[in-house]
Amino acid sequence: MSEAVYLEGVHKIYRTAAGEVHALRGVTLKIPSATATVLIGPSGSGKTTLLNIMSTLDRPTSGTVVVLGTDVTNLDERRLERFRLLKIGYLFQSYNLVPYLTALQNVMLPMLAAGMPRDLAKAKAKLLLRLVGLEDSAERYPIQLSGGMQQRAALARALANSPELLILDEPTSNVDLESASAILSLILALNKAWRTTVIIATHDPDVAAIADKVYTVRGGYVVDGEIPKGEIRIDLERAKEIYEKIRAIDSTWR
Amino acid sequence: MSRHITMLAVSDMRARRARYLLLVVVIAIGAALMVALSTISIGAKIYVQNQLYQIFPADILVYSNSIDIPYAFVESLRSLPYVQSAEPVVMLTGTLGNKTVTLLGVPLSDIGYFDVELEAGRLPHAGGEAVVDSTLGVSPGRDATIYVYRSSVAPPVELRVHVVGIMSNLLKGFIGPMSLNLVVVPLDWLQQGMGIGDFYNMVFITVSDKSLIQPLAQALKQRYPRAEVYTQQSALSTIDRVFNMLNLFFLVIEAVAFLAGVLTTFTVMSITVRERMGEIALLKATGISGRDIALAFTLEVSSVGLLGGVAGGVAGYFGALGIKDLLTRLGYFFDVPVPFIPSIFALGVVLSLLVALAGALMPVYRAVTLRPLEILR
Repeated sequence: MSEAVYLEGVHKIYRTAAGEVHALRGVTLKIPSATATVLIGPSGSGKTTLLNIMSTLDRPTSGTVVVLGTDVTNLDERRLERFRLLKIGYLFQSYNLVPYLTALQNVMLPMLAAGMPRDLAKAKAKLLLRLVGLEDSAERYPIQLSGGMQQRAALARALANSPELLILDEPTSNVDLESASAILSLILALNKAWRTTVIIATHDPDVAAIADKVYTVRGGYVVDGEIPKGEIRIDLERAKEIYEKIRAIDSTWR
Repeated sequence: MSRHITMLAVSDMRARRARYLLLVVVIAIGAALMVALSTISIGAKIYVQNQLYQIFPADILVYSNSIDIPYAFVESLRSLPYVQSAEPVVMLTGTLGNKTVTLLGVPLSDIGYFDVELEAGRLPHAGGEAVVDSTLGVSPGRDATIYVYRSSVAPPVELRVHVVGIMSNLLKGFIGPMSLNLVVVPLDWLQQGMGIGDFYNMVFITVSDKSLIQPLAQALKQRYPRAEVYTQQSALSTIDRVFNMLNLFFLVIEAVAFLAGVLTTFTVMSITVRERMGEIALLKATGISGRDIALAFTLEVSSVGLLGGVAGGVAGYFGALGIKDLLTRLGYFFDVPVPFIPSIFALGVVLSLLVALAGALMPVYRAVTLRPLEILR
């Protein structure tokens, strides 16, 4: 099994007015492709820093970062932008949608930026919105959607360019229980049906129930963690059906 | 331009339409001022130049304060192959009753050249006959006495004239509008009466080859350094200088208006970028390049600048027409043409575009160089 993410001796030091903050202390980690990995730990443990480095949004102070077979440690900013656009889907804790674009436009945006023709981007965006259960809200603006709906629309946006790596930072922290369950089942379905590598940072042990592998982050160190017991219901057939259609669209222009 | 850039720009402009509309208005004010002032200035210049072409009686006008231009000089001018005509006159100041008059001695043989516009009576045929300005209130058939002062110490010369005609204008308006209370008499009679022999103090020269006007004027200035030599060109140069000064003043007004446009654009775009920080960070985190974000902002401000420029240009042109109409209705003489000048209109649009881009430069740079984590964290 190949590695989606490989970190070796990664340190991250933030220099602040109060002094240096050692967020990561020599982290070495291998995350295999097509797996679901959960980074769990309390606030300030360094898990978001780790996530940002893996998603190429941040650079390590020292160490090596290889993502999807590319050494991104010293890649220039323009290449990183393109790499992120085509290879990585990122779901933030909040502020995931452009407020003056509709849900459909928000999902289309990364595809258009990648150069996909408009009609194909629109068709694919509609399929992704159907996948997350928002096909009837495609023309709504973010302000017209509930928190859970916004997070689902953001998940569709993160999947726009069919990323090989999906990174999620506290994806369920700002939504109600029902929405959280729906989002987790979607993530799991994507991982199983689409074979997308999923990395989630959370402090919620329930989220870790979807993981193949759990790491605990504490004080800038990463250690193996336990997978809690729990059952999440997923609709694999539906996810597969939509995946086939999306793959057909992708194959027409790539 | 990629569709995502257009989508971002158009959607944002729609969301902030009131703000951008205000910016369009501010930029349009600068463009409107520029187009209106330039149009009026150019129109007024064209009008004054045309008037000058119409009323300037000759290509070159030689004038001396003393009556010291000899007939030999006039003859030598007439002998030049490119000189069409050289008309000598004597112009003096005197009094008729309690009014100051300008006594003009013109050769009877060439009186047609002076284009006397008669209101009543006829032109003089013999010595002692005169045509007088209607402003003097003297009727044809009456005699009048004119006193001409040659110096402050010598007694005045008394000239008695028999009025045969009343005139309203002379030389197509060149002298008439100056309200000089003209009295036109035969030249030789005036020279005799004044005892000045065959000397003159003014010569109107017309040449067939217009390219020789300046060289001839230069030569005349050298030959008669005490005399004033006027050409149409020198009058036009004076007009140019006056309008250049006026345009400089207008330029300051326009610059202030455009500067206000730059500052307003800077303020509006700074607020917009600050409001859109989260969104910009999200776009960059998603992988949308800084170049695309800069292009989206540039498209927005360019649209605002172009719209402001076109709206301002149209408003400026019709505003100039409106001002002309208003002044005419109020009874002011403002018969200048208000031409539509495409180059001025285009300049207004281009300047508006530059104003918008200049104002947005710093805020857009800030947006482009924003590090997403600084906001998302």
